[in-house]
Order: sequence, then structure tokens, then C-alpha cells
Amino acid sequence: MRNLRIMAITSLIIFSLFVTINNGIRAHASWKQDQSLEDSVSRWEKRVKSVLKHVPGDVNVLGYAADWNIPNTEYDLIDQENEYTLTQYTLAPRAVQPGLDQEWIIGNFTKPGFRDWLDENLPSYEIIELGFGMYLIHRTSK
Amino acid sequence: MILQSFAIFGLALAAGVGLIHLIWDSKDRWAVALKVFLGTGAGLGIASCLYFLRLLLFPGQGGYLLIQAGFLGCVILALLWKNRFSPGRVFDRFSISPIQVVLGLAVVFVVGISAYYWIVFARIYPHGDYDAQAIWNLRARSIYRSADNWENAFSPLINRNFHIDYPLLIPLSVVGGWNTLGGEVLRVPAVLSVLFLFSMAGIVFSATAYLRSVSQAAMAVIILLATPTLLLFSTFQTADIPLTYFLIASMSLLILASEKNNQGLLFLSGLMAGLAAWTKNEGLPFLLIMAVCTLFIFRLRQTRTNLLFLLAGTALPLLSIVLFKVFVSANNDLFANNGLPAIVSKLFDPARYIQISSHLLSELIHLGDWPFSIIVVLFVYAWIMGVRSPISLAEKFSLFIPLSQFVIYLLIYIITPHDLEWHMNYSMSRLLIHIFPLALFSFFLLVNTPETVLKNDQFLSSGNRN
Repeated sequence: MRNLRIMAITSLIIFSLFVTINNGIRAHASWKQDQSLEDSVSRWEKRVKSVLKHVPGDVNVLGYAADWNIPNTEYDLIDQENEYTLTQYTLAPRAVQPGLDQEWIIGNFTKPGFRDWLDENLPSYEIIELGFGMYLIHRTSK
Repeated sequence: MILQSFAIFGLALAAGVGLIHLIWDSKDRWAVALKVFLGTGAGLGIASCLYFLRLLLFPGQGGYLLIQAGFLGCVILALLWKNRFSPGRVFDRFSISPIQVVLGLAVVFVVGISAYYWIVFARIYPHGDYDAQAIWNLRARSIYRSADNWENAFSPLINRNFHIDYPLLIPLSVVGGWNTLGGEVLRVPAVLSVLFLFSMAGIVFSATAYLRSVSQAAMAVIILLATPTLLLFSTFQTADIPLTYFLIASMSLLILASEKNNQGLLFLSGLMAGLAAWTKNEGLPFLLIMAVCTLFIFRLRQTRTNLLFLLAGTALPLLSIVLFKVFVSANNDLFANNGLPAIVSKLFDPARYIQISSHLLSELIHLGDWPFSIIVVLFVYAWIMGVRSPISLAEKFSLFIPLSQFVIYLLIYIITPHDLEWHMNYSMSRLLIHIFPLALFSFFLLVNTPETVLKNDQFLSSGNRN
């Protein structure tokens, strides 16, 4: 029985050390892969921050529209959710509300046809293209 | 910047260690180690509560460092008054067996790899994971950027998906750090995550060493820090690892309080349970579990007094939580639009139980992302090593505590207003990791130590308690 117990202790330690080494290898591989790249959140922040150059300083709530608003458009829900979250994260402490109810609206469109949808849903507006599919929409009438 | 990010919490950590030492006067070397690791959470937690009160009472956001310094000053005065600066037996000579040397080296190796893992992923993902961006770091940013109008961070205009009702221990620690450093330093939330990760491992190690043996403690911490998912979650900058820290801190202190019949330790257990609730809403049911366990464990020994000590420990965190809930007055997403009839109907829906059981089974098999089920491995290990006898009542309850928390999590899934499959995919692995260190600690309290089962072998036995 004692030998079996020695084996149990040794095996558990070896198993744990094997997984630990695997953790180390995984970390090392990730490090080598991404060393030169900027992280995706920082890249997204750079895109979205340009909105603030055009929005008056006293605006505390912004609208948000994206591919998920446009009927019959295919989109990846997780990507859309992440991009909305990152937009809110970037623009904090301003609130970013999904929909077209606000005077200033961030557009995040990658599919054609969004202008037709905007025309249908907003009586009059101005739009500024910020690059990378980002737009700033200013409602010019209620 | 990373050293500065550690340094800004230095005073709070020192104050936390001092507070634990003030209340628990043990000079055993493993007790001293345990005090250091318990001090991390106590210091950061109390500092965040005080900082919250300061935000409520005075304009502006400055003063986090001053609060830490004031806290440390009070603790030092109390220590001087109580004459608690004697070195004790910490540095006495002690014997160490070859197996302890081998296991000690294995622990150093595992800690080293874990630190490397954290450094790599903290640099690759400096903003943490989705939940950090949606909840924890978003809240910190919103408060910090709002300056004097920090209450705007809880505006009802912010989307409900961003959980503005979640408590503030982590966001306020980050905000305090940023105000001290004068900018949004990304390393601050990362440093908090790593402090809680390694302090949690330190608690598991030193509490097991104190209650059992060094070899048993080494086994526990090697498995804990080898767990891939635990390491991964520690890089997410969410409140899951800090919550887990407070759960294990509170549970280990309750067991120690019972073993030593020490009401000071019970007070500290209450403090840690309260800080768990100040970290994440999941800490609230845990607080209830701890109160119930106190009633049962101390049933014949002045129950009312002991319960009062536990509740006294929760006073400051609970005050912060109550003020916060009154101040924010936001509904929790689990109970908003989820009325009593809907909850009752879900409770009696067998399909939900089947769906949860099936998902849970898969999660348990892959628990911690080990290449082979760690539950099966530990079960076989326990079968070979044998279960320790006798076991104290408090140690028996060490199994009941994680099990109760687990049952509460399952109940939440049963009544959740969200799509059940989505909710389980989104959170179940994280919730199981809250419980894993508690269960692992209980496991190594209940299973025979290497020293005990091999006590006739001179290679393996030395310096153990059991």
C-alpha cells in the first residue's frame, strides 16, 4: 500500500507539473505571436475616440447604430455585441445607447445599404465618415 | 509603471497585514505567512470601503493614498498599544525533510510559470477580457473620468447590460490607484488581479500548512496554480479571482476560529465574507452561508456571541454595500423583469433541470481545463491516500460551504430570466472556478497527508502536525 501511495503522490505532482509546463508553453507561444501587435481594444479605441473631436463637450449620451439594426443584414452577434461594449468602454463616462433617439449617433456599419436605412428612419441628418466603418451621425431635426 | 502600480497599494497591504496581526496574535511561522496573505485582501478591501465613504462625503476623488496612510497609522498605533511587535518564533530554526525540499522546489517552479503566464497575458490583453471592458474597468473609467461628478457613472442612461448594480471593491481600488498615479495606468487593474491570485494561493498554502503539513500544502498549491482556467481568469481583470480570494479567506478563518476557539478569527472571517459581498453580488449568499455555518459549528459554545463577532466583522463592508445600493438603486438583471410567477414556473420546469445537469456535467468533466478530469484524478488520489480521521466539525463544514455556494449558483440558473444556454455558456466555468479553490482546500484537509500515510518512511516525515 505504501508503494501505491508513493506512486499516487508522485503521479499527481508529475501530472500537475506537466500541465504547468503546458501553461508556460502556451504563454510563450502567445508572447511570440503577438509581441509586435497592438491589442485589439487599443486599436478600437483609436477608431472610436475620433468621434469626440466632432461632438460638443456637453453631450453626455450618444446613440449607437450598427449592422444589427439594418433589416435583412447578416452579422455576427458576438462581434456586434463586443463592438458596442468597446464603444461604451472607450467613450465612458458618456452613456452610449443603442438606437437613433439621441442627437449624436455613432454608426458602425460594414455592409452597404445603411444609408437607405438611415434615410428611412431619420428625417434629416448629417453624416461624417471617420474611417474603418465608423460614422458620426448628427440629427438635424427631431 | 508596473512597480509603481504595485507600490500604490503598499500602505493598504501593510495596514491589512497589521490589522490581521492585531486581531490574531499567533506567532507560528505558518500563521505569520497566512497573516501576510490575508492582509492583502483586508487592506485593499477596507481601503476601498473607506474610499467609497470618502467619495460620498467630500467632493473630488483624491485622498486614496491618505486613506491608506491613515489606516496604516491607526493600525500601527493599535499594534504599539497592544505591544504586538515582538518577532516570536517565526525565525526559529526548523527541520525540513527531503520530500519537503522536492515539493518546495515544485511550488517555486509552478509559481514562477504562473507569474510568467500572467506577465505575458497582461501585456497581450492590457484591457482584460470582455467583462472587464463591459463592467469592471468600464465602471473604474466612468468614475475616474467623471471627476467631481463621479455619481454619473451610475446613470440610469447607461445600458442595463453593463450591470451598474455590481459592487465597487475592484473599480474603486483601480480609481484610487489611478488618482494616486495621476492617469489611467492600464497596469493597475492587472496588478490587483495578480495580487489577489497569488495571495489566494498563499492562503491555501499557509492555511493547509498550519492545519495539516507543509507537504500537503505544497500539493494543494501546485494543483491550484497549475489549473489553466484559474490562471486565465486571473488575467481577465474581472472580480472573479478577488471574489474567490475572499471566499477562501473567510472559509479558512472560520475553520481556524473553530479550531482555536478564537473570536477574533471569527471577526476576520466575517470581514472577509463582507468584503466578498463588496466585491461581487455572489458574495451576498456566501455571507448567509457563513452565518448559518457559524450557528452550527459553534452550536454549544455561545452561539449568539460568536454570531455577533462574525456579523461585527461584516459591518464596514455591509455599510458600504447598503449605502451603495441606496445610492445607485439599480435592479439586478436577474430579478428585473423576472417576477414571482415566472420564477415559480421555472422552479417546477423539469426541462431546465435536465438542461442544467447536462451542461454542468460537461463543465465538471472539463473543470479548470485540465487535460484529464481533475475531479476524477483527485477522487482516485483520495481513494489511495485515505480519508483522515478524526475530522473536526468545522472541517466537515469546509465541504458544506463550497457545496452550498454551488447549489445557490445552480438555483440562479434555474430562475434566470436570460436564455439558459447562453447564461450557462457565459458564466458557468467562471462560477465553478469561484468554488474550486474552496473545494481543493477542503479536499486537502480531509485527505491524509503524505507525512501521515508514510510516517514510517524517514525520507518523507519531518516537521508535520498530522
